[in-house]
Amino acid sequence: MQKIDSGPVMEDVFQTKSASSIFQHRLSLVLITLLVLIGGVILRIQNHYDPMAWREQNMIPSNQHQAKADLPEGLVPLTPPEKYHAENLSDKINGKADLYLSAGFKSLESRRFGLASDKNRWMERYLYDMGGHQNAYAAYSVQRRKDTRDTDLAPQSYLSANGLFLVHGPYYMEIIASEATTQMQSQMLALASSFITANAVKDNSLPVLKLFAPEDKVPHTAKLMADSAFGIQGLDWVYTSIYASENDQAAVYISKRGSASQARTSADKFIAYWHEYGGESIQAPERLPDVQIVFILDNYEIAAVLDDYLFGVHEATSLDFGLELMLQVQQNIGEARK
Amino acid sequence: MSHGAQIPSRRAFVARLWRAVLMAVGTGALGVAFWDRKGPSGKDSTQTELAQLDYAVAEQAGKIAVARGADRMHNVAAVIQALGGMGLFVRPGDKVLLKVNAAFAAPPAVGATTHPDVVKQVAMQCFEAGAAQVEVADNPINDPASCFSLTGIDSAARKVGAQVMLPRPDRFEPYSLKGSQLIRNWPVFSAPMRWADKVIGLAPVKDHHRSGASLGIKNWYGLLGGRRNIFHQQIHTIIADLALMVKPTLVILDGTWSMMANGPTGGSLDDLKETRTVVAGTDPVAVDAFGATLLGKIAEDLPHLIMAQAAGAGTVDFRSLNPIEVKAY
Repeated sequence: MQKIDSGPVMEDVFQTKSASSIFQHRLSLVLITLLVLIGGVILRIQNHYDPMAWREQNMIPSNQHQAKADLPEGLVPLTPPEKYHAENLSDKINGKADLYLSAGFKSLESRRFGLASDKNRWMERYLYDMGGHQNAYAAYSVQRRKDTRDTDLAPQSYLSANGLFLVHGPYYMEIIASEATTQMQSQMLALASSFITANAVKDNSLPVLKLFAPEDKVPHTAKLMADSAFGIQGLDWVYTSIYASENDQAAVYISKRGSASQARTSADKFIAYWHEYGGESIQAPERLPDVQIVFILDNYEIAAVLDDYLFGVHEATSLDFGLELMLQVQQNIGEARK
Repeated sequence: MSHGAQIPSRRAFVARLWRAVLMAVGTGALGVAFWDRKGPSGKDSTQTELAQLDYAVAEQAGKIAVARGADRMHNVAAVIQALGGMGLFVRPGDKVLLKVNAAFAAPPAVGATTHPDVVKQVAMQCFEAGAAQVEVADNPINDPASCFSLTGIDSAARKVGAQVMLPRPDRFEPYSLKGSQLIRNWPVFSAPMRWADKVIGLAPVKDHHRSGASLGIKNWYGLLGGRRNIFHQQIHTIIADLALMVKPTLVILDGTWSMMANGPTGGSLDDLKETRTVVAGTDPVAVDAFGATLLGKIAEDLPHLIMAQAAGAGTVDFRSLNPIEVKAY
């Protein structure tokens, strides 16, 4: 019978186990230490807030522009472009961000340019991509300054002493200069012109604006309210323009809704709002059976519907003046439909 | 029979594999749990609530003066004189902080930031009153260095011996305002406040798309760090809280030209109206209530003023303080 010597076998097994256990033990310690270090670093980073860290994220490499732009002669870039989106737009324009966000804002690219001859004289261009031409017009129109002059750069464009403002396709552009001089105005116009040339658009028209009658219209008062027109929640995308005659004043409004039934619903909402604040219904003339009228605070509110159009008059000082304006719009809508 | 290294059994191997996988998943989950995408949220913490940052000179409480004229520097000089002179507010050896509005990298003509002439005049008067040092500070919305440079504030400050304190990360610390639901463990630009003996707020008169107006109290918004834009949803509450957070030595509101529309950024000179007025006082609520009138508004149009009054930060009835009115030449 062969004697089985288990001693060396057991010793071998024990030594093998010890060797591998010690290695595994050390390896485990190393891994655990590494994990603890990683956890510590994460904790440290999370507890150290850098209020300025976000700023650098807004800078974009110059080869990532979406819109092409050629720089006119006489201007040099002073800063790289900065890009902002919906979540950080207020980092650039603070409380004004809501105005753009409610009108379909997509992104803002801003950049500063200086005169090649004197970089202390500079301008900053704000290029808002509003996602659509109507959206861009909304952002442009609600900030329209009155005592300014139109330019021929675009159908919607004006120049102030130190600023140029325009709509081009889906873009709303502002160029603000550090000083009000004719030289800076010329350069602003050149900068905008070069952008327009480099970024052709198919259509720069706003068909609804053509529905407003020209007579008695107060210049530069047309605007498009993207939401809460006249303070009425849910009444969005409403064009308005102020009219004034010798004795009367009113705001005409027009809004193309999704369907005829939506237009009727919006008309009812408009009228209901004024009733809520104490307005009294006025019987419409027999020839206008579908027109709704409310008298409130010495003014008249009028709502009418034609197909998918909601239109009417807000704060008309006289009923006759308001109805006359309303009928003009109705006629224009009818003719546009032909 | 060879007795070399032990080959683990299949069961032992699978068990070890599962342990390793669980360890990896657990570590990853721990990392995700630590990941704070939003940053400080101002939630309640165990941090001790801090009292108001109080720099008021008790004997000068309830004072307000109005200077009217076309020249900004003359207006500022006249209104301080009408209050009795800077010597009543700044003592020899004082370290004075001028908290400006340098929010935007905009030229001074646009009226979106504190005008450099105001900074220059006030800093000069502080030094004449014996101030040891004058610092100018704000945590701008845009890049700080650009803001202080392009607004002309940095240049104006240095010309008269004052210095700009930039909002570096190490100059912020978490702060909680007692009684506030919003300013809880929030990063605040505390370094200049801790440094100063006296704090003077210098702000332009501006329309504001969200709050209705940006005046003296809203100027303290520039002490907040973090993603402070979340407070826009409760803009009136945060401004009212700011009125409680800071009790300044003096507030000077520059309405020589006021931004009547398209605030707070403005942009076009057509947004400005020459209102030819500078108002200064030790009751920030009263000063703002007066400032609102330059925008064609009353205090009731600005809910944060009514809230600040209700919280005891001052009075909107500025007439009750008998404003001293002077004409600046």
